[in-house]
Amino acid sequence: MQVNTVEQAPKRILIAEDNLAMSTVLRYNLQRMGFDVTVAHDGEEAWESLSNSSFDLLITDYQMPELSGVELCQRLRQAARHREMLIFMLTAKAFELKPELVKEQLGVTLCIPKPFSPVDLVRVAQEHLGTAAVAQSCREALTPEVD
Amino acid sequence: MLRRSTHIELPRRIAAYYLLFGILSVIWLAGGLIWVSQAILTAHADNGCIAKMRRAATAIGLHQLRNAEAELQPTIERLHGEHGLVYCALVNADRRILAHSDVRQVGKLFQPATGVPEQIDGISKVLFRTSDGRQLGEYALNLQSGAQAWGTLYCGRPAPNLWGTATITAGHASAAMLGASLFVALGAVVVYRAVRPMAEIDRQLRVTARAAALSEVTLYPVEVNSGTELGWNRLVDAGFGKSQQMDLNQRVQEAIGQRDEQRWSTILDSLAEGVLVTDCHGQIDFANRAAAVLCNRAEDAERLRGVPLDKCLNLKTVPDHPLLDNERAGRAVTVDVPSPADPDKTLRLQRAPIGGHPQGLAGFVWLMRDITQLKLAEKTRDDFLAAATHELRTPLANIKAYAETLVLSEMMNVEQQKAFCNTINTEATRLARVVEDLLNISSMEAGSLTLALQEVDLQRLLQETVTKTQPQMTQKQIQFELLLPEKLPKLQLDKDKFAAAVVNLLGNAVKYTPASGHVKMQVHHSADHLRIAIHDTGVGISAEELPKVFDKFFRSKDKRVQKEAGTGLGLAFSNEVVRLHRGSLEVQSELNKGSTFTIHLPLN
Repeated sequence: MQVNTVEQAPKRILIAEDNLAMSTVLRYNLQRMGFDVTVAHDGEEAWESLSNSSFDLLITDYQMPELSGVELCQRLRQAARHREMLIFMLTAKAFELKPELVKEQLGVTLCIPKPFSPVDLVRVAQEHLGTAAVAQSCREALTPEVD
Repeated sequence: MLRRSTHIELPRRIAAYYLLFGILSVIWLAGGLIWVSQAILTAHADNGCIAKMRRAATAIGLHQLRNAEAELQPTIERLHGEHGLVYCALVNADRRILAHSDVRQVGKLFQPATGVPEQIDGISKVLFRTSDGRQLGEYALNLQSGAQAWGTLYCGRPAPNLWGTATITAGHASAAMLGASLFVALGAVVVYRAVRPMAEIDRQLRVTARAAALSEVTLYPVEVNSGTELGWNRLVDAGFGKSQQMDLNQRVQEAIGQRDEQRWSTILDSLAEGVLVTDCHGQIDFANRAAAVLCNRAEDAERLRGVPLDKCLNLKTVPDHPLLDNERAGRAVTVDVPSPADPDKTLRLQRAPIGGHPQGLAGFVWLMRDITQLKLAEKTRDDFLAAATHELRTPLANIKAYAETLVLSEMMNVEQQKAFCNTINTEATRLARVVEDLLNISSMEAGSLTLALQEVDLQRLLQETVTKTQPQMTQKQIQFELLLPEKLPKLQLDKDKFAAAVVNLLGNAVKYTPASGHVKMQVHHSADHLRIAIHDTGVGISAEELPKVFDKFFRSKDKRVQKEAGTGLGLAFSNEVVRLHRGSLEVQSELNKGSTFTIHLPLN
């Protein structure tokens, strides 16, 4: 499905994920929706990227080598320019974490437990970044899941 | 009934009573004696008087017959002259005095004494008191001439009075009286002395009677003078006095109690767990040896008795600890506190209320345990769960993500679709391996990893493991060498598990050796020992990671290792299997050079 890019510049998303397969599929899905996607393979790399350029959304894994997702968020919140950054946290620790606590303490907007639907993730990203119309058409393309 | 204030000793009392009644008797007897004397004297006096009066009356009768009135006066005077009479008077029927001892009275009118007459032998006697206070008896004898009464003869005589009699009696009977008194007095002394030995016994009995509780009383033996004291002493010795018995009982109870306490103390001291008993306010009544050790007061002989528990454990630093919580006094409560002996260690305290007290709470009994190991195990378990969760969810997330993306595959070319499907496949395989390893580990954790031993042809087993890893070896063009001795002994092994363990090691060797590398499996055996060494020329293990290599979920941070699929459970599993076979797994490695894993098995 060819997506018409919106008039404004594409939103920039940084993905911080050490699992190659996951980062690949995320990049694929987000780029398809017209986002400008950068992938960092560990926390340090992510921090570097953040320091060098600006992003509209950070999607980060909870556990990463070098700098964990938590530490990354903490750093971001301490740095003035990144304080208001939109952050999604992916985690395999879905119910062990207290999402409210994470949201509160780290300023994470959304906690996404693994496994998740990448389509849903894209939709949510679009909602938060203001490209809702595209999300609608994505949803229609999906066959309903059978439990 | 007992009056404390006027208590007189028993012997004195008895002597006093004796004297009292003795003297009363003596006095009574004395009185009686005087009375008797008086009666005798009176009778004697009466008789004497009467006799004289009769003689006189006879004489007067004669005179009367002879009309010798002049003789009357001398007769009367003669009568009076006889000893004892105060006055005599002869009075005619008109009561005119014919003759009188006092001559001047002749011719006057006679006034007979007034009073109650007493008839004695025909003579009436009247007692009266004169104006000067003398007690007189007036005797009146009626004179008759023929059948006619012509006059009365009156005689007055002093009536014996008591005082007079007493004086007389005393005079005569003084010796008797004195003797009687002396006997009484002597008797009192004898009685006193006889009773005196009882004094002490009596005193002790009185003390016993007054004591509030028999347990307060102690009875003592007394000096033996007679059978009474002897009997008393025997009773005292036999502990018959209730107080002695109580003492004995008390003593026995105490001894038993002490023995019981000793016994319980010994029993509780045998526990590895600390047991403490405190009162409602947390003051320690009892602590067994384990508790003293845990509180770092092992050398305290008094075993913490009287020490407040919270001080002993520095509990005030712990928020919310049960000693501060009185609301939950009735329920069992558990709290974990840092050990006072070692801050890195943790103690678990469990408190339960001691019931059975009428006022409610008798105190608390505490169980104290060092849970450092438990906490460590819990942490390990938690870490394990976290890691397992991660290892399961990560490939699962990938599978789902790729599958969902494939659905929207209109924009995807076939190559890309294929690539995505491959990824799904790979991730599924990985997931399968994780599940497999987790199940194995679960068996190990639950302790249910048991060996089903059977006689195994080791050569064949090893051949099979090689066959299993052949594909990977071929794919990576690994040079493989298998060195076996001529004859391998038959072993008692769990075939499946041992094979899996070897496959693990072999698979690792291949996995972590770059293409065209070398892998060698060499077997040595002696009479009592078997060695299987798997050597590779792979990436090796750094010195700092080497000790952790057998830990569950441990994976090297080395990028070359991270690149490969692995759960971090393989070596843990192999190690456990070898250990269960009473063997050991050894590793030698040098980074970038290669590793050698050696299985050592004892033979018997």
